[in-house]
Amino acid sequence: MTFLNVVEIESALVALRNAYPSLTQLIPLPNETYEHRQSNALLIRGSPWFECRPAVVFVSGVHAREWGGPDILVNLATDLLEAYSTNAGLAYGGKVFAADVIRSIVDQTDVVVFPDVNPDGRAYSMAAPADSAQALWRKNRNPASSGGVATRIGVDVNRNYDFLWNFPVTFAPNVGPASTDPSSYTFSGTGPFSEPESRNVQWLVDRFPRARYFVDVHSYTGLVLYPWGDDQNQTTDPSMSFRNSAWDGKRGIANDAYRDYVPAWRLAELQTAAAIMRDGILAVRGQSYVSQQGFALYPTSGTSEDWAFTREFLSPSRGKLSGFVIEFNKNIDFFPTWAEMVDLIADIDAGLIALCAYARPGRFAVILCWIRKWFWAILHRVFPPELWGPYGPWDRMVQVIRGIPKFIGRVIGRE
Amino acid sequence: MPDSADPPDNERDDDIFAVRVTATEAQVHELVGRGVDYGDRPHFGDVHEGKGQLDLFLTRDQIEGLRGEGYEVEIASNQSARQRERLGEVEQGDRYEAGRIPPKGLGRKIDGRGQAGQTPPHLQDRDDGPEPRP
Repeated sequence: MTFLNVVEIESALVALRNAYPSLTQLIPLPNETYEHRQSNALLIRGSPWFECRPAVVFVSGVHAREWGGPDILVNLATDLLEAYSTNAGLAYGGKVFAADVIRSIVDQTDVVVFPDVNPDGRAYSMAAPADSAQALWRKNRNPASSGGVATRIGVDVNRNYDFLWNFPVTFAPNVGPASTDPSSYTFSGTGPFSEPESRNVQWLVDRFPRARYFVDVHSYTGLVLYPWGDDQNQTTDPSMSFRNSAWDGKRGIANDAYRDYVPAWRLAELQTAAAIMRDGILAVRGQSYVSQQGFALYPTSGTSEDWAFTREFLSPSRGKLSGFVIEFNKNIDFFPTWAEMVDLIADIDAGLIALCAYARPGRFAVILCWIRKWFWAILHRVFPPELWGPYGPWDRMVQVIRGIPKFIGRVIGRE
Repeated sequence: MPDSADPPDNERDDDIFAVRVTATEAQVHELVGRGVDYGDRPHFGDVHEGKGQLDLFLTRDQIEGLRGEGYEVEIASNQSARQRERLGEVEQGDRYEAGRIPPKGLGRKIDGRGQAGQTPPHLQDRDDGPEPRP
C-alpha cells in the first residue's frame, strides 16, 4: 500500500463517480493551476429530494509537503459510499458509526470533498528531489513573483484567502502572520485570492449556500483549530473585529487591547464542533488531539478557516459557516510511513464523520425548513411574481390608488 | 534520533531536519520573526518555568548557528531523508486506471446495528480483490 500520487487522487474521484453515479457528482473546479492541472471535488448526496440538507465541505492537500491529506479525504468518500450502498455501518478502531447514522449522513447532508487543492505543489514534492527545498516544498508553483529565481517561486495558498490579507496594514508592526517576500514559505501572494487554488476553494464553498462546516486538513501537531487566527477571541464588543479598520495596526499581539469578536453562542458552537471531531479521533485508538483557537501564540492572516468564518459577518443572509483546521499526526513529521498513515487516516476520518453526523439537521430544523419552503411556494402561487412584480397588475392598481388623491385634487381645482 | 557528530551515509549537505528548540516565549517571537521554517504554524509546547520547545525545520548549518547562540537544539528527524525514503511509498502509476477501478475504503464495514467486528457477507469476499487502497 502506498500514498496516492497526484494523478491517482483525481482518478479515484472519477472512479467513485463512476461506481456510485446516483450518489455522487464530480465537480470540476474552474481555475486551472499554473502547471495546467485541473482539480475535482466530489459531492456525496443521497435522497436528492431532501432539500433541507446542510453541506459539509472538506479540503486537503493545500500544502505540498504535508503528505497524506488527500489520502484521508479520498478514503472518507470511499468508506461513506461503500457503507451506504451496502447498508453497513462503519468502524475505525474503537469508533463505530451504525448503518442508520451513515445512511442519514448521506441522505440528509451534502458531503463535499476536495482532496488536492494544490496539485502542482504536491507533484513537485513527490518527485525525486533535486534538493531539500524541493523535498520540503510547501507552496504552489506560481512563478509570477519569482523574477526568474527558483527559490522565489510559489505562494502559500493558506495565506492567500481574503481575511486580513493585507497584514502589513491590518496587523501590528513586527508581527508576521504571513510574508510579502516571495522567497518566504508563507508568501501571501499579490492580492487576496490571487491564486487559482484558493479561488477554487472559494468557488466550491460559494456553490453550497447551505454549507455549515468547512474543514481544511493539514499536518502535523495533533490539533483541531477553530477561529480566530489573527488574535485572541472576545465575546463582548462587536465593534472590535476584523471588519473595523479602526483597529488596523493593532492585531496579532496576545494579551493587549485588541481581541477579535465572536458572539458567545457561536464560540460555544465552534468549540462543540471542534470537540466532536477531537473526541471522534480519540475514540479510534486513543490519540488525544487538542481542540483550541487558531491563535495560540502567534497570529495568522489569510487562512481558509478564518475566511470561511467571515461569511456570516459579511453576508449574514447566507447562514452560519464554521471553519476549522485539523493538523493530523502528533509526531513532528511531514512524511509518515504508509503504515503510520493508515492509522492516521482512521483517526481523522472518524473525526470528520463524527462532524458529519453532528451536522445532520434535527427533526425541528427539518420541519421548519419544510414549513418555510411550503409557505413561499403557496405565497408565490397565490401572488405570482407577474402579479405583484413592478410591471404587474397589482403594481398598477397600487399606482392607480396612489393617483386618486391627485386626480381628485385636479378635479376640485378645475371646478 | 540522528543527532550524532558523524552524519549518516544517506545525509546530504542541504538536508533539512525537524528540530525542537528550547526557548522562552520572547525568544520564540524573535526566532519566528527571523522567517525560519516553523512548519504549518508555530508550535510551542512542553512549557515549564517559562521555557518550552519550538518546532523548527533547519539545515545543519542553521542548527549549528542556533547552538552557537546558546540555544538547546534537539534533532527529531532528518525530514529530507525521510522524504527520500517515502518516495518508495508513492505509487508511480494509476491504480484506478483513469476512473475504471474504484478505490476501496480502509474503514471496517459492519452490520446494520453497528456491531463492531462483523463484516457483512457482501463485503467479506471483496477482501480477495485487487490491492485495497484508500
